[in-house]
Formats: sequence, C-alpha cells, structure tokens
Amino acid sequence: MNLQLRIFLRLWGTCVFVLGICGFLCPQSSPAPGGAADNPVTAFVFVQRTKAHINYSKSEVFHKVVDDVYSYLATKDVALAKDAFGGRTHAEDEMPISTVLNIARDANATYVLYLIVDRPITEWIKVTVRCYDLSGKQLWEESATGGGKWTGIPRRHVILDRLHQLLDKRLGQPGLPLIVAAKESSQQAPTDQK
Amino acid sequence: MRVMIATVLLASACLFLPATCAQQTRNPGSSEGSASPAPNPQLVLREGTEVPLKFAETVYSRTAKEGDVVEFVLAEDLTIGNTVVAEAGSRAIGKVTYTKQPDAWGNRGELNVRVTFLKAGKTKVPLRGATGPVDAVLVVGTPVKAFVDADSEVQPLTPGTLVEAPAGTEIPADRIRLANGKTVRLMVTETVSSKTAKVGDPVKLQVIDPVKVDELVVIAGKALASGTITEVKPAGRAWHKGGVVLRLDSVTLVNQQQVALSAFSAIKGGDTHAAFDWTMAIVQSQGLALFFLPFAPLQHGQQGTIPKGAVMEAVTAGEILLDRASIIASQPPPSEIKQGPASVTIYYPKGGNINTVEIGGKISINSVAIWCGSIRLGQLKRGRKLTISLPPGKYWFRVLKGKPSTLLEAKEGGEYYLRTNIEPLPSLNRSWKFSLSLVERDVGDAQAADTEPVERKNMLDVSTIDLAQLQAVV
Repeated sequence: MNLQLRIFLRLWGTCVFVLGICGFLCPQSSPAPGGAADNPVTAFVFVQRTKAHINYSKSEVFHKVVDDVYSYLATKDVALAKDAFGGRTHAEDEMPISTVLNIARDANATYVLYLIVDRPITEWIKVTVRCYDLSGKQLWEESATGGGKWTGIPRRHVILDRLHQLLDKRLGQPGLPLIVAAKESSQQAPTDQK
Repeated sequence: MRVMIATVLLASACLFLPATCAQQTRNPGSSEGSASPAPNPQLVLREGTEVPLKFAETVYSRTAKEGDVVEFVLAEDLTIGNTVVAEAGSRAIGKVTYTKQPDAWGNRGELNVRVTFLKAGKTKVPLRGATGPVDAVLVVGTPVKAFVDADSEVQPLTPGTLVEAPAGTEIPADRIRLANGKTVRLMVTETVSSKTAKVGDPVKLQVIDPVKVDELVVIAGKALASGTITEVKPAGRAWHKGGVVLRLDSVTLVNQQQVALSAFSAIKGGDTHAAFDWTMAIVQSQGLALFFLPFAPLQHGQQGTIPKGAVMEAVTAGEILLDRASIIASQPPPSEIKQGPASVTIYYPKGGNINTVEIGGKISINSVAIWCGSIRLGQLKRGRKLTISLPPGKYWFRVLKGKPSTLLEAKEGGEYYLRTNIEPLPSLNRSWKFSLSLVERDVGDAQAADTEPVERKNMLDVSTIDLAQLQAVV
C-alpha cells in the first residue's frame, strides 16, 4: 500500500475516534426528559375579579390591576409560566380554583399566584394574593387594602404600592421564583442526578 | 495494515455507539423490560367524534366580551377503541361569539359561546359546537356537546399501550362516510308564530349551503329538511313574551335518504320596551300618564316568531356510511355562471311593528327612501321590493339620506338581496335605527317572494342614470 493511502487512513481513523469520543460525551450532558431541566421552577399568575368588584367598580380598574401586577413581576424578573393553549391570565367571571390549577398544570408551572381583586364595602379596592402549589395547598397569603371610602378618593396606586412592598419580601421564595434561580436550578439538576 | 483497519473499525464503533445510547435514553419506557416496545400505530381522532364537555367557569353576559376565551373540561375519557387519548378533565377552550348585555329596562342579557379546541395529550384538536343563544349566564358544569372538526392525529396517553383499532374505522372504497355532527345550515321556509302554532306542527326548512364529503355533494343546496314544534307559549298580559321551541328532525340527502338532525331552536318574543315607553309617556305628558299606569300590566308581551328566512344551524346525528355509487349518480348539476349585469333586489318585509313612545300606539314607517350613491332610487313601501340591474362594481346603498351605507360589490351575473331593517332604539330621544343588510341569496329570495314589486311611479329608471353617480361614495 502506498504511503499516501496509509496517511489518509490514519488521519481518518484519528478524526473518527475524536468525533466518537465527543459523541459519547454529548448525549450524557443533555438532560433527561421530564427532569428538572425541562420544568424550571415557574409561577402561573391568575387574576380574578370578584362579584362585588363587578357590581360596584369598573372593568378598567380591574384591568389596570392586571397590567400593573404583570409589569411588576416582569420588572422583578419573576419566572412566569405562560398558558400557551388558552392564553389565560385573568377572569372577570367566576372561575373555580380547580380550573386555575388545571391551567397552571397545563402551563407546566410549579406554583400558582392567585390574585383576587375585590371591592369590599368599606374599601375602594382590595387585592389579595394567594400562593398555591399544584396540589391546591395554600402556601401563603398577602393582602393589600386601603381606605378612601370616606374621603372619596380612589387609592388604587396606594394599594398597588403596598402590594409591591409585600411581594418584594417574598421574591425568590416559593410562589415568586426568579428567572436566574430557575435557570440555576435547571442547570444544577443533571449534576444532582449524578 | 490489519492494525490500521482495526483502528478504523473501532473508531467507527465509537462514532455510532453513542447515537444508539442517546436514542435509548430519549425513548421513555424502554428501560422497562428487555425488549423495546413496537412504536404506537398512528391514532386518528375522526371528524365528527362526539366530545362531551362542560363549562369550567361561569360566564355572564354582563361581563363577557366577544372574543373572550372560555374554559371547558372534558366530561369523560375520550377513547379510540380501547385507548384513552384524552382523560376526563382535559382542557378545552372556546370563545364568546355573541353577547347582549342586560339593559337598564330589565331586559336580560344573552350570550353564545363556540367551542374551538381540545387538548388531547400534546395535540390541539379542533372542535366545533356551540351553545345556542341562551340566558344571561352559563354556570360551571353546564354540559356542551362538541364534535371533532377535522381528522386529527393523536397519541395514546400511556406510551407503549397496545392499541386495538375500533371496529369499522376503515371505510370501504365503495362507501362515503358522513361524519357525526356535520354542520348543516338551514332556513325556515314558513313563518312560525307562538300565536298560531300548535305542539306537533311540522315545519318545513331548506338547506342553504351544500354539504360536501370527499368533494362530492352529499346534501344539496335547497334540499328539504323538516322540524317539529315541541313547545308553544303564547304571549300573555303583563308583558309575558311568547315563545316557540322548534326541534330539527331530518334532512334529505342527494340520494333521497333521510338523515336525522340534532338541534333545537328556541325563540322568544322580542323586548316590548314597555318600561321605556311608559317612562317616556310619563315625561312627555308631564305626569298625566301616571293615571294610566295601573292599567300597564294589561299590555301583552310580544309573540315569539320564527320568521320565514330565519337561518339556523343543525348537526347530523350519528355516523352514516353512504353508497358512493348512488351519491355520484345523484350529484346536482354544476351551477351555471351567469353573464351580464348583476341583479339587486331591495325589499322591505311586511312583518314587524314599531312601537312609539305613545302608549299602545304604533307608528308605521310605511315607506323609506332608498339611495344608491348620490341617487335616490325611489320610495319603498312596507311589503314592497325594488329590483334593479347594475353593471359589476362597488355600490353604496342606504336608507334615507345621511344614514350609514351598506357596501355591495356586484359581480358579473350576481344576484343580491338587501333587506330594510328599522328598529326602535331605547334612547331618551324618539329615534330608530335604519339599515340595509345584505342577506344570503336563498334567504333574500324567500323573504322577497312575499313582497310586491314597487310601483313604477315610485322608482327611477336606473338605465338612464350616470354610473359615476350610482357608484359615488357618500
């Protein structure tokens, strides 16, 4: 056999060997299906309007709260789960919590942040945040209320600021996972499995 | 040399082995048992498969808006043969397609929701089905019957499940499958009123759009369909509205076979606007009408009427395999493409009264002026029709000067019908809503048949008018 063919075969063999080693390593580094990497810790946020708010307040007020909550969570880099199937974020009609949990499961969320926008008799607006896990167990609850009933001044901004302060304390905790933490958890998961 | 070949073989093995390993890790379920299971056969959720759903949220006409998404859940497991493809509780969504808010005069709201998709595993299965125009609220748990809208490939929920094909899924070549739940649009060919109708009375209907399967017409346009009156509630005093419930029974196929239909259409009498009328009367009579107020409950509510030309949707009940040869032999002749100018018929139906603000009185807007572009075509009386021929092009029609226009894009040889609508508006000023609506050809044909042609003295000869004036955008 001539020298050129020998050199070619040796070179080819070396290349294939190196590629083979790489091939062995690559699938091992890819995450296992259904593992934590596929399901980073996220929260599904759902805003519900109460009957009292429907009766005694305006739809615009409710939608302003929805927008405010979503923009607040976005600025704080909270890892949110999106409902790709129905695109649900809120309900003005009555939706049972079981349906909300069903949507959250479908969106591969870890937690449900259930916000209730209410209009109690003595307040202009009351926003309650309840955090559930997917089994429906309530983990925590916060609520922001404000006066203004007797002064006649709507205090939506004050209530929302209060709500932000309450949620600030819970950032990074169950119910309000941060995007960075969610990424870290998904990267750590395969090493944990080892 | 041998060493070199061995090196090459070893290196090749290194290259291909990881790929095999990777495939094994990606295949869930392969870890159980030594033999890897055979890949699942393709499962197809056939068009027309019934999908029992129920509302997963309460929807109110007061808050719902057209286009809002509505949540449903699957009421029971959806299976193909012995394989579950969607478990009970799976999500389905729909959309609010119509809402009428309750008003300050005590009239109830209405809403209609159309089902759009079901989530079967990871597949988004298109659905068809809707709630009829119903009461103001649809509560959690209200059942809705939906059907798969198009054949959809789905996966069994448990991978590796042995799939047993349901009997009769293969359609023989000499047969045509008319799927369960195929939508048929129908038109009532005679007016039904709660004043005269009796339970058990038959009602004649005709098909509007032909229904095709495999490019073959199975239900022809204008095919006969039948229904039965199942409930009649005449209008009563104290503004009690009348009502009629019509059950749609069957439709005739092109091969004269009858197919059962599944649909109900409940019609209630219109709003009397009695509260509005009385308020206005009291205001305008400077309180004098208060003396007559105790007699107000003697007023009748409006009768429930299904007018001739009313369009309703039904679905075929059950799956039928039809003889292909007989369907091919009974195909209707292709519709002729007409040439020449378009024919436009503008008609003012006889039915309907317009309440005035005067107690018990009625005003009849007996005639309206019909305009096309900047030309006044003529005066159209109630129960009359005006037919004109126009060259193809765009025309703006309207009732009375200054009222909103209706665009008509006339095509070569086309046949068009415009209906005059006049409705009272419950506003504080005495006002009515005038409009011309473009109706489907069959509907217009049926409704205009009951009207008389307008007298020559009351209309212009369109052939003598400049086309630019007729096509003017006003």
